[in-house]
Amino acid sequence: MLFLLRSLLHVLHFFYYLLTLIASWKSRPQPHELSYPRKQLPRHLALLLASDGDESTSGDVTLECFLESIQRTVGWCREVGIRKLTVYDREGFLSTNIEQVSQRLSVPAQLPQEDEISEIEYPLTPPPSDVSDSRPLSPVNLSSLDLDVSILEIPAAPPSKQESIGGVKHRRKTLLSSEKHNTDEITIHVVSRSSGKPVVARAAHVMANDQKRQQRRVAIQDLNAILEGDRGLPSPDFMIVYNTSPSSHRRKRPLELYGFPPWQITLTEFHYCNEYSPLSWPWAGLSSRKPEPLNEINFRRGLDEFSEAQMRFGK
Amino acid sequence: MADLLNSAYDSVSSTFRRGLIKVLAAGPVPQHVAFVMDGNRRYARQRNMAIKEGHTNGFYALQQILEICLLLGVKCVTVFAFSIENFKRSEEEVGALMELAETKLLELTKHGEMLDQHGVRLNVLGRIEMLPENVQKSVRVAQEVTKNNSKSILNLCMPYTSRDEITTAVELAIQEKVASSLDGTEHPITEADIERYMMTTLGGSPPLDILIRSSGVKRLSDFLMWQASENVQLHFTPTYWPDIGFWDLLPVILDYQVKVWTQQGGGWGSDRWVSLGIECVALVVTVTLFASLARLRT
Repeated sequence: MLFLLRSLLHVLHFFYYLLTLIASWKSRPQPHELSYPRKQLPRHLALLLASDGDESTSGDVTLECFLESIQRTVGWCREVGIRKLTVYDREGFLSTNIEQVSQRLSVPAQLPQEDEISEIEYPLTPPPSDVSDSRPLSPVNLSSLDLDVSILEIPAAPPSKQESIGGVKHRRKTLLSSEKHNTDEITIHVVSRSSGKPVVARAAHVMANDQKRQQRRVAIQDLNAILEGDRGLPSPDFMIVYNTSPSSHRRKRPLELYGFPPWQITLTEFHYCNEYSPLSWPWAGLSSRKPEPLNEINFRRGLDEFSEAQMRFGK
Repeated sequence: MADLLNSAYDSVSSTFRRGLIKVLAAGPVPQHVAFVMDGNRRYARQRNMAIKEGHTNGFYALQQILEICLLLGVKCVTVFAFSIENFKRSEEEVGALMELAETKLLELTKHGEMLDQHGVRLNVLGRIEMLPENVQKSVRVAQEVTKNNSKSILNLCMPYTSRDEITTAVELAIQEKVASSLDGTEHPITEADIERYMMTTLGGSPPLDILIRSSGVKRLSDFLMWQASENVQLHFTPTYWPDIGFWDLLPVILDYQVKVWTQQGGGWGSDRWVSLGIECVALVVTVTLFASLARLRT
């Protein structure tokens, strides 16, 4: 009986696979251009890069793919006016190779400090968060807490010098309107799995040792002030999840978060780049395709989705 | 006549659905599924119903989904019934929701067939002290009545937010550490310590496998963030919660099974296709044999 049921299950999966195949052939509408005036834009974008399901690809190739994706994303963010970006990869390829990241983004040379505070530079002071009447922890305790967030400041870029002889007028116009955005500075947080749950545990440990705190219970604002504070990671309002490994694009795969810091995803809108094209058959050994970096269509599609999202905040 | 056809269609389709559930249960089944029951109000507005009715229909949808999960063999279901943020809604709506909660909890305890049949233990997770006293009482009664059931768990999150859960777990971990360090030993608080004090873990729930949110919203909105941030498949379906049913759940389970099979080894390699082919052939042969035997008989 079980054999019969299992066979039926395999048959069901076969038909499901066919259905998803057919669904993948349906063409999706083209997303709007980058410069399209969208109803709302994210203020803080998170880019989650996964390399799941691809053990055969070497770490170097994956890192290169991640770097390329980040470089492109920073360019698009500049063009659109997003000034806060977070990039995440589970294993921490980016965090451990932070010099390469800053080189790719042409950040002025800054040596990372060797002590446990792993930031490159202090960010611009963020606006005061919603912390009403919490008594902050003593500075001594906080500074010993490694929040594992690397922060890069990309300064304002000079306006691009590309100007063609022909069609100068039109080009000039677009340059002028987007010039403002192209010169914005961008703050980039580079995080990995160890910036998430382990940091919450470490914060708990620090709070346990804090004498002043022992008089009252931990409040949400206390934890928030630490995790989203100056050297921490603020909450992104939009996240693009992208898997670089080619095998993940062979069939439909649901969204996963790969260990992204759990505290900060309260109101984050997710956009999952789940295009798949089963044209590279699963069993073909010929499917030694390289990992592909994020492309602009994915980014624009994400922005379109975000601009349509409605926020109700519980009400 | 139409009624007869309708009821025939209903019974055939429900038999068909039950059959499919049996088939699904022959493969790997998630241990813990969570639902965000979103869209009751938009559903009601779309149909020009009172908001209250939308919530009531939402409750019936919950019962249906719960039954399907239990038939499948899912060990634990967690639902986001009420957020601490929802207290911001109109007094009228909050009152109606509290009334619904109290009534349904009492119903569950009085006519607890489904809960007893499947051995479901009810846990209410969240800041129960924020609920009106009469609802608190029905919560206590419902938990008491089902506390000896051990086959599966239903976590009702109300009123709940994930940040509140994480903060509470941090507080409990700190208290434990302070108490244990009085004897002089010093242990750092670890991720596993916080995990132990999550409300879901305290209630005996296995790790989360799948989270489904209805009504097309693609956010977690302060629900199970700690649990869902890793190794959990997130599904966002555009269907409004009261409309949700078996057909929404089917692809979710199939996707989960693909994940488990892929992890177990090889993925959809050539060997899997070969075995699938053999099974298809075997099936066709069996069916043809039976059909021809049946024809020979007549």
